[in-house]
Amino acid sequence: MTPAGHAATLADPVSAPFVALIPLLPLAGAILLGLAGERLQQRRGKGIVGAIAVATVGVSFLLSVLAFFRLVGMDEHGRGGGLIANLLPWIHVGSLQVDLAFQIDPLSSAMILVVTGIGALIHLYATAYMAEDPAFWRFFAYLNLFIFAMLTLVLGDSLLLMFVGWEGVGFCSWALIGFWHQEFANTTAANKAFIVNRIGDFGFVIGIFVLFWSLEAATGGHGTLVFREMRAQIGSLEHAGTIFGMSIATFASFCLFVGATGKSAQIPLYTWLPDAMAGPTPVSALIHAATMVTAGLYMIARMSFLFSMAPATLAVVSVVGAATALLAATIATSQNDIKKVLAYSTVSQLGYMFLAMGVGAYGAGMAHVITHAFFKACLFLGSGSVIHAMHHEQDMRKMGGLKDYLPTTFKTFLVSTVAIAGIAPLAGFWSKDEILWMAYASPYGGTGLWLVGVCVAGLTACYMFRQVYMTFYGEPHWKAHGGEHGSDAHGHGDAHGHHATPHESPWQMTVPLQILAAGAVLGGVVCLPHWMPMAGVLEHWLHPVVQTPHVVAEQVEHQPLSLELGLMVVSLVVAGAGIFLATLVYLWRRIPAETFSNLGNGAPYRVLLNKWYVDELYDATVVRGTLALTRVLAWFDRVVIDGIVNGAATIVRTIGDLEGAFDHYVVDGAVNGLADGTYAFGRTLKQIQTGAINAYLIVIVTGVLGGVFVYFVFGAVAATP
Amino acid sequence: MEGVSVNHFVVLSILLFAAGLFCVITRRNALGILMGIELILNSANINYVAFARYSGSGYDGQIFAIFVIMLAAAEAAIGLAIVLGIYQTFETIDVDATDRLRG
Repeated sequence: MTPAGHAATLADPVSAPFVALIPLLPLAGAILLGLAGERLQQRRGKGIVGAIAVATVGVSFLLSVLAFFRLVGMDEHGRGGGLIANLLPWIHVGSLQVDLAFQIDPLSSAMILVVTGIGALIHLYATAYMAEDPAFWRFFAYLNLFIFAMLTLVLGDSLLLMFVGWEGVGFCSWALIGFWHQEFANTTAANKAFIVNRIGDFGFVIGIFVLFWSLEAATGGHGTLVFREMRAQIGSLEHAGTIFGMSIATFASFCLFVGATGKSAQIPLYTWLPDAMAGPTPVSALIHAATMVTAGLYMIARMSFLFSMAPATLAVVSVVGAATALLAATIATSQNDIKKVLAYSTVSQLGYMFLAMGVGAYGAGMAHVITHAFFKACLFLGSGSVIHAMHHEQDMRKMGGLKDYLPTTFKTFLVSTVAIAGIAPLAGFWSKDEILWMAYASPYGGTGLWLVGVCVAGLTACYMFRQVYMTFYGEPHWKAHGGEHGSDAHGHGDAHGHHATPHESPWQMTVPLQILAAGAVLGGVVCLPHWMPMAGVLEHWLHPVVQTPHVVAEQVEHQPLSLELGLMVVSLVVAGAGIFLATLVYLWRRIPAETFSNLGNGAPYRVLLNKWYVDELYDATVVRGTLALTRVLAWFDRVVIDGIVNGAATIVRTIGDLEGAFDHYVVDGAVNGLADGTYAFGRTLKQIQTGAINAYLIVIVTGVLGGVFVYFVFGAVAATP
Repeated sequence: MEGVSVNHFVVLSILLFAAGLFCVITRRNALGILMGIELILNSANINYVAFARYSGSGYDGQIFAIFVIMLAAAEAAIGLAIVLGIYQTFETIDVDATDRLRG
């Protein structure tokens, strides 16, 4: 196995029990709030509930930092093994040896810093955003539980433990999307997210089974699901035969990728993510933008040694990623809901990351995970701040001109928008450009993938600035709207000053925004290109556990620097053009937006507005198909299965009746007949017993005389010779 | 005593037995029945003594007769006690009236 020749020689992990505290603290917080949160909130107020939630995640973050510095202190070889906290043996059956163990290596340490760091900020933000909600404690219990599940996913040292976290975040996502379960649409969105994820999970589980089974066979009974051991054994799969005409590595990695498309919202399973915006905005920021949706990418990076063996899967990954990026970006240009735009933007950016994974640029993909976490969390929290100020109005057409009223929100939102649009030198530029470069230069990539990526970069810049202009610039449409606002049905936000001008959010919300915006500016340092100082920090950091395939690294190395810089300029120009177009249409209004929506009789616009009719397509095929199938099965159940069951019951009943009759008439008849006969015989006999002694004596004497007579007469005859 | 043979004693004993039996069967008075039983026992005693005397086999028969007399005494005592018990219960010793064991 040449591509990762030294992969097998990972150091043994060093025992560090404190690592277990990182996931267990949020779990403790979740349990405490889940069991005692309601009483705590009634007696001590929401402050203490929020403090517990923020503190547990905050301490987890500090411990993550501590673990990070422990890793920094190790040499590169030892870092590959990292730290481990082996809590308990979990499943020890035959050669399946899985422990409840949390392992921190460079990859997971990068992820937990993002999860706990951004998680803590969003917790803080949510204490203000959710302050009005009566179920405050329940919200934070779920939020803490989510952090625990996510950390289990990241820190679990085996695929099985990762799957536990995988399902855990799915559950928390479901609970939090449907947090405002009083509205039917929210619960529907929650169920949709859960069910669509289950489809992906199916692939994931199959992948786990196939991997264990094939490793078991290939190593002669030493199968394993622990990452570091799988890594050492993976070479044995090289000649381990095929499944459905694919090599085992291809098949297993493809199954795992199906799981990733569910969790990370890729074609064909992305439809749940936009609907997931039904949840409270901090949830959208934490789960559906910054952390949970990156789980699929984390898993691919974690299993990169497997994916590197399967170029066919990598091709599928890159094509799906690019297609998703393009599809979601086009939809995002036509959406009017502030959160829907961000949701499709997230899907699109995740597509970028999959594109990176697919061309073998795992490091670039993970870099984009991290930078995207900063600016997307900032954007979502910023949109939450806007929604908060607009009394839960999410339609951008009813906003406008907010930049003077929400200065901090505006500034941070703008910074993040510039970052996601890919303008140098903000974070998004570096990570996105690394991806585009790898998509062009990698042997698994190509000009087509690069072109799609550049188009998406232009679209991203365009729709993000459209959003900024519609929300923060132009006419304040909410003023005209305000007249009817006080009297209409959904005036629930009016308690704190309707008609009043929107006001900036409290510090709990603005401070996280500022920190995240700073991250959006500076996050790029982790992935500077190789001609800059401090180049490729993250890639170098991940190197012990995540290696770019050899063929990829070699080919990229031999590309001329001028080409790389040229492509970078092209992508910058395209992004600038996107911004310019948005400015023309939505800020300067030189071109009315209708010009585009009326293009080709408005048909393209309608297609985009209706999200390419993918939901309708799924509804017509999968959903209706499933429902039709359930009806057929229900009919089958009612007619055939019930028929068999009822028929069997009837037969048994008839047999029972017959046996009853036999018992009644034959067996009982025999018993009763015997009793009756005995009784009648006794009644007849008792008449002999008169009780008169004389009568007895007469009988006795007659009997004796009769006996004597018989003896003498017949006995004498018999004795006569 | 030359003309008297064992047959005479047997006939006597048969007559005595028949008289006793007749008495036992026909009497309705319990005491009468006991008396009849005495006659029957004594007819058996006559047989014992007579056959012992005429077969010349020592005094076995006489000894048996004495046993039977003894037994008759015991039987009389017990029988009388039963009759007393019957009288205390039924205030009569008519055996036709004491048919409580009738089936």
